[in-house]
Parts: sequence; C-alpha cells; structure tokens
Amino acid sequence: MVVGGEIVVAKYGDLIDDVLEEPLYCPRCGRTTGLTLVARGREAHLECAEGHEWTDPEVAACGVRQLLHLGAQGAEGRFPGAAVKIDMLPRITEDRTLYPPPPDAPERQLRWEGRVVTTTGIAPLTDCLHWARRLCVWETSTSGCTRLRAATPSTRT
Amino acid sequence: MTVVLVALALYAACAEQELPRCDQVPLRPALDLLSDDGLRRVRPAGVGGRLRVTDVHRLATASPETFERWRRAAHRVLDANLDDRDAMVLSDRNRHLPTLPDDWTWYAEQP
Ligand SMILES: [Zn+2]
Ligand SMILES: [Zn+2]
Repeated sequence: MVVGGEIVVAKYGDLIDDVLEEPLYCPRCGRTTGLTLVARGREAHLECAEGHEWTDPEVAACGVRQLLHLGAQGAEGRFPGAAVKIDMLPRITEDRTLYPPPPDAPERQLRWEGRVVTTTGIAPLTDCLHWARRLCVWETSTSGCTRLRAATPSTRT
Repeated sequence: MTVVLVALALYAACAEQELPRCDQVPLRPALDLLSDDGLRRVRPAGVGGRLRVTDVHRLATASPETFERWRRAAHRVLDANLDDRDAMVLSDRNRHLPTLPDDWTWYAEQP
C-alpha cells in the first residue's frame, strides 16, 4: 500500500509552547518523501530510500497500523501519532437480537448484577463488552508486523 | 468472538469477586479464566446485560477447535494488556486505550 507524500505528525514545539504539524524527515539525508514506516510488535522505525533507519517518538507501531487501516478503507488518513485513536475492528453485520435472561439464574449472581447496576448505572456485561472492544482495538494496533511506504506525492494508488 | 470472550472473562472475574464496578476488575484472574473452556457456559443472569442470540448459539455449538482459536485470541488480548503487571486493574488501562463512542450500538443496535 502506498500513502501520498509526506508523513505529517503533530509535535510539541518548546519555543512556541504549542503543537506544530511537521513532516517527518530523514536525519541523515533530509528526505521527506519515499519513506517506509515499519512496525514490528510495539516498536516502529522509519527507513528512507537510501536505507537510513531512524526512530521518531511520534511514530509508534499502533500509528502505522492505523494508517494502513485507513488506507485500506480508502480514507486519506493523517498519521495518528503515538496513540490509538481509530477503531480498527470490523462491525459484524448480523442479526443483533439479544438473548433473554435464563429463568434459573443463581440468586447470588442476580444480586451482584443488581448491585453493579445500582452503583454504576450500567449493566456489567454491557460495560465489559465496551471495555473488551477497547482492549481488542488496542491489541490489534500494537501487535504483528506492518510495513508502510510513503511515496512521493501524486503517486497515490 | 474475541471481543465477546474478553468481555465474558472480565464479567466472570468481576462476578467471582462480586465487585461493585467492572472497571475495578484485576486483569490477571480474568486472564486465568481464559485458560480453559469454562467461559463457554458463562451467561449474564438478569439485569446484567445480554449477549446476542447469534453469540449464545456460537458459544453453545462451536467445535472445540473453533473455540480454542477464539480462546487463544482473547488470551493474547488480555495478556498484552496485562503488560506483565500482575496488579493491573481494568481502569489502569484507560489512558492507553482508544476512546470509542460510549454506547454499545456496535453490539446491540438492530441493523
Ligand atoms: Zn536518508
Ligand atoms: Zn528496518
């Protein structure tokens, strides 16, 4: 997969005390295009066309995978930086009818569920499903190996 | 099914300790619940939320090999989030995780 042009990341500028957006460049030859983003496990690094390799704190493995995911969806995709921001899990389109509670549930479990709903205002399984999705999205964006090449502008495919 | 199994592991670990809030559940016991096929039989009891009919069916009928695949995937997710810290509770993970719309329409909403 090819992403267009420069890879712009948000960086904190000490001098202006604000966030700047600037393109990544090779610290040895200054190239800003034709870079390859490599993510392996939780680590990521950059490679320029000359084969120089370096790392950047804004280039995290999860960002590379999210960008790849956005590209596969046809979205333009700005580099998401070092945090997981994009829900990369597909939504399964199927019947979403919910299963009724069993008639013979244990008293103790029923009482515990009632206490959680009273305390938090949310059903425990509903809460756990929401957390589980977030845990899974995070894991998906921080594991495996991904290579992403940022080509020169106008060669986006 | 990975999300469903992770959710059931959190739910069951929380229920076992009768915690009043799910975000206080430690990840280690939840991970341990993913070491066999016990979660196949875990269901919410009443006001505790509901699984989809399709997921209940899959849990009840999946071959041992298929369930084993889901179990391993769910185990990997919790293990990665545990990050070798045995005292990790769910809310400790909050700042690392993406914020998703705070509803469960992705799970329960009718298409
Ligand atoms: Zn270079
Ligand atoms: Zn390399």
